Amino acid sequence: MIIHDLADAELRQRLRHAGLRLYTGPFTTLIQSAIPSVAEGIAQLYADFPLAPADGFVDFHVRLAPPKNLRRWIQPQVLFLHDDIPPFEPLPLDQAFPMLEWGLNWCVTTHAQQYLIIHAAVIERNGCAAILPAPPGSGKSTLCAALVNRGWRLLSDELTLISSDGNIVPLARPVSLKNASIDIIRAFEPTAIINRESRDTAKGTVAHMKPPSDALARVAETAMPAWIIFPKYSAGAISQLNPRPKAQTFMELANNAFNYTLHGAQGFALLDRVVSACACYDFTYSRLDEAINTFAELRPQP
Amino acid sequence: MTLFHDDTQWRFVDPQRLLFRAWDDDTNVVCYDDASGDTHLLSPLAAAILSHLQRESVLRLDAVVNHVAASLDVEADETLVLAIEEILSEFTERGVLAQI
Amino acid sequence: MDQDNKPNMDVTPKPDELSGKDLSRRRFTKSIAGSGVILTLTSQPVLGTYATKCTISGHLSGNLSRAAETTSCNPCGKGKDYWELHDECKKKTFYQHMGSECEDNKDSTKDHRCSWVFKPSYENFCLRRDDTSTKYGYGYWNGSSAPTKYYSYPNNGYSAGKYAGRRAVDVKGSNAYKDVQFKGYRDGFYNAYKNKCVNWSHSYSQQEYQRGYRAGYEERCMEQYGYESNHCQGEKWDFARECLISVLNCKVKCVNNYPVTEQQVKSMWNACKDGGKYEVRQGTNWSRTDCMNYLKKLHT
Repeated sequence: MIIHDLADAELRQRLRHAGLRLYTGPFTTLIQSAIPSVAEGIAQLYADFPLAPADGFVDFHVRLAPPKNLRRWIQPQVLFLHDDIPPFEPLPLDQAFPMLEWGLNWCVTTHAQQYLIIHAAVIERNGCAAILPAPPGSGKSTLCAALVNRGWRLLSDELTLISSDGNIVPLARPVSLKNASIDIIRAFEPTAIINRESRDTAKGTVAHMKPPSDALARVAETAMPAWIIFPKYSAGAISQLNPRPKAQTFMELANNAFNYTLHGAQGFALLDRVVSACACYDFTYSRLDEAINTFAELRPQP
Repeated sequence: MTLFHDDTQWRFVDPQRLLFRAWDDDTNVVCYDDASGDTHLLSPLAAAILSHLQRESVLRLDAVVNHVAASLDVEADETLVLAIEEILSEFTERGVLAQI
Repeated sequence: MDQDNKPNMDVTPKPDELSGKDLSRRRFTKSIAGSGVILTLTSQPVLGTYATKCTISGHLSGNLSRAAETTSCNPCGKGKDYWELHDECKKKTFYQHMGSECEDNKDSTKDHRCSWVFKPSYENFCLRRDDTSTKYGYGYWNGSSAPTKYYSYPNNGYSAGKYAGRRAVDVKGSNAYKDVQFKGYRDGFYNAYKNKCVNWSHSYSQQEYQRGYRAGYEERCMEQYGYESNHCQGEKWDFARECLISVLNCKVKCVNNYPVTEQQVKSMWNACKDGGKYEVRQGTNWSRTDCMNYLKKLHT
């Protein structure tokens, strides 16, 4: 049973009371919230997500609720709580759904230490995964959103989970878009489902794109890392892949990991395995259609 | 003027604590230090010094200078000697090497 | 690495048997073989990889035992993308009471090298302040331990903005007016008028200049570097951008509990912009890179 199968009233009822239990990648998440925009966002963007049983183990208990002070009514705010503890300062109520997404990312990066977690988008084709690490503003999410609408499977737009066997574990969730990329993706793929925008967030204007259905249908399928590609959007640039030395790529990837040093020697070995298995590139681009073509020509290294 | 006497020797403090990885497409080497948990990107010079010590167990300055000069195909002149001595000092400070 | 995870490192060819110096070899330089450790990724405490406090002191202490406290902080400032989009907000924050023609006059802030500003109410951005009783506005330049010269213009009741690029008065023994085109940098103006001397008529004004004075001469201030950083590369520009973002976040009320103050950010800039160190506390000094990396964590 998936979330789409729930009537709207039932969905809101579960969110307001016992909580909505769903599978998010390899995790089971329980979400509670009486905030309407949270329910709307979940109904719209999590429609294909499978529900989890009412009596099963839950990895993350999260709740979005107004604070108990005056900010409940005056310039209303929202708190994200994990296990009833708010790890962040509150945000304006309008940002409740983005806060859920940011909060769920925080849950993974601070608790899922069984994986080596890289701050990178990751997509898959024919069983091979392309890891796209990039700092904010490099166009990674825009590129990821475009590629998953052109034949690539979304594994994650933000967090690459690497299991101890060196495979990438999918964590497909709504793809975060911000500012200009929202309209770019709307124009690029008019059938993409993008929820309402939240303005004036710390990242500017933010919206989320529903993950393609096949990403959820195949969420149990892991992928082998085959490429590590550092994208950089540069206005007017021709799409170009430039090989990157592996030792430097190793260090860059380690630096982009949330928990590399936690894993010690095993982390070193695991990252060695990933980098050795991958062709490593820098990728500059400006036009999405050219970028799509470049990615279509990628071949795993022998 | 060099920092050390010709007969100064070094050894690894703990030979097992360092893990190295190198790839054909890069002259630099990554190294994990299990004692500190730090990961280093090493230059070819540093990598050549440490690889020599791995093979020889004990490192004499003159021997490592000759080894590195041959490995990197450079002259074994005073510039190289000073560079090697700097690296040996650095690794001694980091607790990776110890003078005998 | 071999199957048993034992170290193996065969990164260099076996040395040939040596027979003395081989004169056909290259001379060693660091460009050939590098210096030693190029880069180190330092091991961090488990929970310290996620900032539990983003105040400077919290960042330094990395107190892991308090991870569960609710005072922990996620990046709470608005980032570059926001400020680029919200140009009006940025302008209003920096250029209050100013007209658009003043925008080119991106002058310094407290503790920076101030120069000519035509805007009397530029208080938030620059220490200089008009003496409204005389309705003079003024600028100064760095030239000695105490300001000795200034240029003034009469206020004929115009708004501040209209003074941009307008006249300056050379008061050295005359009231001759000079037409000045001034766009952002004061170089041309400074070079043209640095040898003029004036009468210092207002002790109040003098105090203002002394407060804002700094020795030396800098062509561009933090804000100018920050605004240029979109098309100029280099760590100084990147650092300026981060400082600018943090100053803007300090100023706007929609960013609550920003963990640094405007003064702290400007102190970081002043200390580190040319490669110096910022003393966080006794015995702890941050480089420009350290400051920049810290400021980056405060916003998304």
